[in-house]
Amino acid sequence: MNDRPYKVYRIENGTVIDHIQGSKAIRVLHVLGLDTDMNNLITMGINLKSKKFGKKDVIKIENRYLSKKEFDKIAIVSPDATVNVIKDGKRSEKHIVKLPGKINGIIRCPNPDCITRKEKIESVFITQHNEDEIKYRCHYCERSFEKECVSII
Amino acid sequence: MDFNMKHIISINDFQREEIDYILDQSKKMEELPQKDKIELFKGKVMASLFFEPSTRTKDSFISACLKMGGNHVGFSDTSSTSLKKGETFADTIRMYEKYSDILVIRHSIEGAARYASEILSIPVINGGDGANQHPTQTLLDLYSIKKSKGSIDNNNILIAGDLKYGRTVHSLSLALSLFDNINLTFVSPPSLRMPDEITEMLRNRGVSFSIYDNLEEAVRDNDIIYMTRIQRERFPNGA
Repeated sequence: MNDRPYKVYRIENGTVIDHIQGSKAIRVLHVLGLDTDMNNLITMGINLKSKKFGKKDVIKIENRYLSKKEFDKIAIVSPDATVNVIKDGKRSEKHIVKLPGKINGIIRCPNPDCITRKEKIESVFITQHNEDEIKYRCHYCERSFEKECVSII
Repeated sequence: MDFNMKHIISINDFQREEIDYILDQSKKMEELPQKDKIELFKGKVMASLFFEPSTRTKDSFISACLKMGGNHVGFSDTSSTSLKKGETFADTIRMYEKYSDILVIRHSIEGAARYASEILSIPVINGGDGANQHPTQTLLDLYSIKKSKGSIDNNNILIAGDLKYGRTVHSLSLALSLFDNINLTFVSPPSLRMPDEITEMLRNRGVSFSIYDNLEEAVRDNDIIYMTRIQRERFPNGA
């Protein structure tokens, strides 16, 4: 048994999303649809101390595992987050989320005149890295948006 | 160069070599005798779907189609189509796909032509999608520059008017960035300046450009002056 004192309730099976940028946990919960999840036990730590980032958030979800699409959603909100899969109280997998070059069906185009806002089409965005800045370019209307401007479906 | 089943959706999809090839082919077409021209599209049908008003683009496509011996179907006013009865955009264009060999589309919704090219199995030409792209106008503008100046490279080009909402100025500026030693001057009222994303792309591609509010101050040693009208129909409040 690990005697490490946990600030956030320890789970036996499920997912731990760690190293979430400080104060972004609620946003992560929202984009994953977990803020309305009535089935799983979810615990959360906000503004915990982090050696690497100064402050970080942590989310622990019991008996729930994430899909690749959910990894991508987390990456858009908090690009440095890590996802740990917990089985029988031990970490069985560790993933560092990564912003994909092409993002399908996750971002809603902010342009009200874009075809993706009028027809039932999966949105497609291209991730653009320009020095330290990240922008998302809509494949259909060809407009680029700063990450603060986009919302997640 | 193989253009079989290649769509013309955005000037951003083209490399310089492809643009050069199209302009060379255009010159050959212009010089081709009418008796040979009329054989090129014989027995073929072009669907001309103009969901938004147009004079020059629509009729220049129809004229080209007829001069090459083809026929055309389509509409220039959606009030006389099944769209008024609630038919979806996708269903309308899929129906025209069965009637025709090539589809030309203009729509006020940005990305409509790109979407059409992805769901249809015939070539699609974008005749303008909202404030986004108008690639065939750009190819025509490039052809006019080449014809009048002998080359597109090494020109000082002044672009004036509504640079915010005018789709042709966006497409043309980006297309010109593929050519050598191009110097651009943008002139517009402050509220209608070239969007940041276009100037950012030009900067990233190393294109030299300057921005002015006043035409008299801006005009100097220009090889080409490109004027556009105010795109009042695209203003958010319609004023």
